[in-house]
Amino acid sequence: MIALIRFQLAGYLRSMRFLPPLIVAVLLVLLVFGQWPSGPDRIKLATGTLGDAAAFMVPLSAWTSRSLLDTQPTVQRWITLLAVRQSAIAGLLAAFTASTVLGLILFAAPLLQALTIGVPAATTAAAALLVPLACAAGTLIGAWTSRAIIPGAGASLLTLLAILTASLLLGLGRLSFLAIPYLDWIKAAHNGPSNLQSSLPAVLLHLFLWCAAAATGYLLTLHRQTTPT
Amino acid sequence: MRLDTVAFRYGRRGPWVLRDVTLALGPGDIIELTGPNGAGKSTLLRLLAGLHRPRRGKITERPASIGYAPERFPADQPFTVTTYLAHMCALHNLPRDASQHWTHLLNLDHLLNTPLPELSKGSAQKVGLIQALLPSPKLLLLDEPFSGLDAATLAQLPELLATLAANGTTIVLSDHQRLLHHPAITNLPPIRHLHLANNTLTEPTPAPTSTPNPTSPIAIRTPGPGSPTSPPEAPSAPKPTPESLAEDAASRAVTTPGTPTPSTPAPGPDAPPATASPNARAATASPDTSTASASPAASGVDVSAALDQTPAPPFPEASTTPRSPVQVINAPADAPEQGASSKDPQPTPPRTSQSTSRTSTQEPPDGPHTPSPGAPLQPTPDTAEASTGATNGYSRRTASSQSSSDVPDGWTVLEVVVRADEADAVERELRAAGRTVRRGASE
Repeated sequence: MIALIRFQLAGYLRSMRFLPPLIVAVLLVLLVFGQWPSGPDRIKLATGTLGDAAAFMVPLSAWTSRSLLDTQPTVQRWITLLAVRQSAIAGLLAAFTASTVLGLILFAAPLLQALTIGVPAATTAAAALLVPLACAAGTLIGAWTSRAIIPGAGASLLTLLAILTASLLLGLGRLSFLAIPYLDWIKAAHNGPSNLQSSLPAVLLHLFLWCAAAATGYLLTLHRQTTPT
Repeated sequence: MRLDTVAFRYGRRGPWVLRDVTLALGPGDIIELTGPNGAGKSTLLRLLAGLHRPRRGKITERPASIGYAPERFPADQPFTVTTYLAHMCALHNLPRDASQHWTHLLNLDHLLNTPLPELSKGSAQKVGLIQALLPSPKLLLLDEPFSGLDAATLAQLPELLATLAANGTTIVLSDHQRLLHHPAITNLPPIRHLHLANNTLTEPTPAPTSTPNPTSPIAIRTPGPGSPTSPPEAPSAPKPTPESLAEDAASRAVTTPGTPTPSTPAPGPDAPPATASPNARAATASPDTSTASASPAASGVDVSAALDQTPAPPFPEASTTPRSPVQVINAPADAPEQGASSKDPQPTPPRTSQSTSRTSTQEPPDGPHTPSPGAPLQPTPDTAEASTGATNGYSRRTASSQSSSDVPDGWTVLEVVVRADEADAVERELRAAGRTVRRGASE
C-alpha cells in the first residue's frame, strides 16, 4: 500500500496538478494570514486566525484530493487495483498526505503568530489538532467527487461546490449534525483562547465522526463497484 | 475459475452486454476470445479480472494474482517507462529492476527514459504487456495484445504464452489478428476458442492445435521483388519452425488463419476448404474487395471492423470504378483465368505512385448470428470488371507470377492496388483484421 501511495503522490507531483491549490494557499498566507495582529486584542485576533486557517483548509483539501485522485486514468486505476486490492484506502491516504502538507503551509503563519503573540500553548496545541481533521474532511469531500464516484468532470465540480456549500449552511439549522462544524470553531476562535479551548473537544468529536461516516461511505461505495464476487 | 450464468450490463437500465455466460477455466488453459467489435470481449475480460461485478451470476475460484494488459495502455501518465515500471514493480513487491528481463525481451531497452505519452502505440502496448507479466500471474488477461506490436515481438509472444501456460497460468486473450493460429506456432498447447456474439459466449469447436484450418485462413500478401512469400500452410504441408514465424514477421507478413466456427455458414472444420472452386475463392475475396475499396483515407470506413462484421455485398461498386482510390484485383494463385483477365491494364493514367499487393483472404468466422464474411459468396461478373478496371497503369502480377505452391488450398489471393499515400493506413487496417500483408514495390 505504501508503494501505491508513493505511486499516486509521484504522479500527482509530476503532473503539476498540485500547483493550483498550492498557489491559492500561498496567496492566502501572503494576503490574509501574513498580517501580524496588533493592538490590545491581538491574542484574540491570533486565535481567530487559527480558526479561519483551519476553515480554509477544508475546501483546499477537497480540491487537492479531487485533483490527486483523478490524476490516474481509469485503466491505470484498474491496473493498480489488481496489484493492490486496498487501492481505495491508499488513494485516500495519498490524498490526505498531500492535503496535510498543503494545510501545514497554510497553517504555518497563523501558528507562528499564535506562538509569538502569546496565545496559550494548550489552546494552540488544541487548535493544531484541527489541522488533520479539517484536512481529512476536505479530503473526503474531494474523494466523494472524484472520477471514481462521479465520472463527469463538470458534474463532479458542481457536486464539490454543492457539498462544500451544504456542509457550511447545514450548520445553521437543525441538521447541523450533518455539517462540518466550521461555524462552531470559527465562532469559538474569535471569542478568545479560553472559548476555543472549551469548544474544541465537541468540535473535534463532531469532525471525527463526520469524517468516519464519510470515509466509511466512500470506501463502501468503491468496494461495491470494484470488489470481485 | 468458474463463471456461473454471469450476466452484465453497464447501468441498471443499460442493454445487456453479457448473458448467461457459464465457463470453466483451468490452469494452463489458453483461451482465445473472438467476436465482432462491441460484442463485449473487453467487458468479459474485465469481469474475469474482477474489475466489474456481474449483475447476475457469480465468478468463483479467481486466482489471486492477475495480470491485465488493457487494449489501450493508458500512456497519458507523467512517468518515463523506467519510472513507471519501477512503480509497478513496487506495487507487486518486486525489486525495482524486476522489469529489466521483460524490457530486454520485448526490445524496449532503448525507450526506458522515454516519457509514456511519447511512446508509439506499439511501445506503449509493450509497457502494458510488461506490467501485466510482472507479477507472474496465475490469470493473464490480454485485451488485443498483439495490436501494434512489431514483428519481432509478435514472433516472441506465442512462445512466451506457451511458457506461461506450461507453468499453470490461465491465459485469456482477445485477438483479432489470430496470431496464435499461425502455422509456424507449433509449441502452443491446445487453444480453446470462445466466441462472443449476441451477448452470449459459445465454445464452437475445440481448436485441436494451433495449426491453421483451411476453412478460414486470412492472409494478404504483397509480393516484393524477390521477397519470399510465407503463405499460410496447408494442412498437409510440413509445419514451419518458429523461426519461420519470426522470418515471416520480419518480412512484414502476418498470417493468421482462424479456427472454425460452427455458426459460420461455411463448412465445418472437416469439410473441404471453402476455396474448392475458383468461384468460391472469388466470392470469398469479395468482402475484402469491398472494404479495401472503401479506403480509410477516402471514406473513413473502418476496414478492420468491416472485415470482421460486415457481410459485404459480393462486389461493391466502388471497387469496379476506375476512380476508386483503392482497387482490388482478384487473382487467386490457381485461377489463371482471373489472372489473365487482370493482364489487360486499363489505360487510365496513374494518379500517384502506387503500390502493388497480393492479397489472399478468407474471412474469419463470425458470430453465431452474424452472417459470416467468410461464407462463400457467389461471384458476379463484376469480378472481371474489378480486375480490368483497377489498373491505373499498374503492372500486374498474377497467378503466373507466383507459384501456386505459395497459396495453399483454402486461400484466395487478391492483388490490391492502393494510392501510395493511403497504403500505410490500408495495410494497418488489414493487419489489424488479421490478414497477411506484404508490400510490393511501386511500379
